[in-house]
Amino acid sequence: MKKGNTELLVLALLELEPLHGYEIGKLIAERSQGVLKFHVASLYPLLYRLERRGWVKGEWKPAGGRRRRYYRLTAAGRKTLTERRALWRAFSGAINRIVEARYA
Amino acid sequence: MLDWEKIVRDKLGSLPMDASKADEIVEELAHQLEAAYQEELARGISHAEAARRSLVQFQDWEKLRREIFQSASGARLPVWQQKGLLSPRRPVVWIALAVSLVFLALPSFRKALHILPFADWPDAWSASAFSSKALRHLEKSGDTQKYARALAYVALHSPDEQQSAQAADRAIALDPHLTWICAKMTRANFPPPDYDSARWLKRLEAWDPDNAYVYLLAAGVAQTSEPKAFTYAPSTANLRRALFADSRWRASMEQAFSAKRWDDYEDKQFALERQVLWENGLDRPEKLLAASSALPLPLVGLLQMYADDVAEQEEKVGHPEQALGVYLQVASVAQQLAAGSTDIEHFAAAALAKDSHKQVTRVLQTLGRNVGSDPTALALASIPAFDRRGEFNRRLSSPACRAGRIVGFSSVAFLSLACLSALWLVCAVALRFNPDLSRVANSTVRWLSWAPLLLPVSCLAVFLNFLPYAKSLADYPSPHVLDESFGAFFIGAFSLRYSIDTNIWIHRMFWPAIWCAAVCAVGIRVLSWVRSRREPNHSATE
Repeated sequence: MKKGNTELLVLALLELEPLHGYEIGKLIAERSQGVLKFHVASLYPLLYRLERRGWVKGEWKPAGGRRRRYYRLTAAGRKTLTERRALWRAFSGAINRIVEARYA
Repeated sequence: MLDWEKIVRDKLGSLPMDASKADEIVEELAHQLEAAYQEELARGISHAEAARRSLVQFQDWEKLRREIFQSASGARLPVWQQKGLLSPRRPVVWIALAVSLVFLALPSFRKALHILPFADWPDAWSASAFSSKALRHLEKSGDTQKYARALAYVALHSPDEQQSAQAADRAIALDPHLTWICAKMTRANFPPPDYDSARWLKRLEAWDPDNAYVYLLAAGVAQTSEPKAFTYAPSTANLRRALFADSRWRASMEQAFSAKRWDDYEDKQFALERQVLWENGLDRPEKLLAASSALPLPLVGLLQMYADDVAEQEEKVGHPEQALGVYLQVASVAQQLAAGSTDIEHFAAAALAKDSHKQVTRVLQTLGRNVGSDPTALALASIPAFDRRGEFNRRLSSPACRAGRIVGFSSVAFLSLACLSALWLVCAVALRFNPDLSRVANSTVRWLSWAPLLLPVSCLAVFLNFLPYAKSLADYPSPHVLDESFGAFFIGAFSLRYSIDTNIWIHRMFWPAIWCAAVCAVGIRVLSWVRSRREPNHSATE
């Protein structure tokens, strides 16, 4: 997967609710029904990069008797997600119009 | 119960950032591992297997460490913090540099570098091993010590004709056996208007009256003094007419034909050059090889032209036997040339014999005589043929030439790698004392880290291939031995720059390529700077 696409995936997951790193990895695998394999070794550098850019914010919260670092979308991240999503829709729509033209 | 934070801390190593931030990263990664571990246990997997499967998530911890640092800080991990094979923290890089320095300490290796193919041609292949200043010093010491051979060397190699002539006069005055150096003085490279070649010719003729070489030199001087000589091709009828009309030229050619021997003084010159180079600490065979071009080589083809013309005249007046006699003299000169030591002499001898044999065959057929039993034809046929192209190809395919090529390529690689390694070393040392010096320096060390490792490889290639040819001047007793054993190597070493295939690229494109690389490097830096400026502000708020 390209770097921009993985960023879109993570931003989209965080749009609904704050998540910690382990959950993000699991959700990507589950929601893509195993199609997308996301290396955990790439996940944390990605989260730190998004945080440095100000698109997500990490906060320690108690969970199950211990603390976990949850990431939530910032306003800048939401704006970026909107832009990236629009781009993705345009891109995937264009691809579909060509690939699926025969069955339309 | 596994201490996942300790495991992560051990495997990840230190992160050169704020301690609390580093601790948070370790804790977060530990959570990830622990969660995966617990999940595996919940599936009924054993503790050991669950721990193994959990750790598999992070296989390359050093890569993870680099990426986390870069993502969190926006900068690359300082090279002195990196643990990879090419990190300056690793002794292997410094050992490689030390090995390269050891090579530099070896005299044979330094000797090989002296003949680097990218050295400026006039410097490496010039007729003189000495600079103008060193020649003046040599002349001065020759005068002080009354040492004729040093003065003779100056006479042979000084680019200043006046200095050359004065040194020649003094050398011959000290040692008349060196009168042969007058041969060089007969053909000045850049003669002043009042330069008198004839003075030197007379001196040489008086000293060595039986040498055909001397008279051919005289004929050459007469030819070049012919005002239109340079406008004619050597075989044109106009040039022949002009030269035959010149009594000096004809007299010189007649004397060349009747001379008893041929000596182009190559052995004398070789012995003198070798001694002077050795005495002055220049134990450099390539300089001795290059110096062989100091004495002029007369146009041996003039002999053929002269012989053909004289024989033609004899035939015209009905004396074919006299025409055959002329060619018998040609055969005599060719035999003397064939006994010489250089390829040029052998080539000239074979060419004379071949061309004359055709004429002799024609004359004999006219006379109705048998070519196979005629003494002139037999004498000409006895001159061995010389396959110039074959001889050149033989040398090109010889092991010496191959070794020379490898030394040529390796020495270019050595120089490039040495420059890159020096840049790497400067940046690495600077970053050692000031880790925040610059991102460019950090990137430079990271990207050039392979250069110090490859440097000893290039050293080894140069050294091993040059070793069989790293001989002293004393090991070359004659110009022939030098040419045979070192000449092919030298051709190979310089083929990188001067062969048909590569000379254009190396000669014309080397520096442009360096400039293009520099412009590209600056361009990449500017683009990456622009990209970093376009990234959102780190402190963006919700």
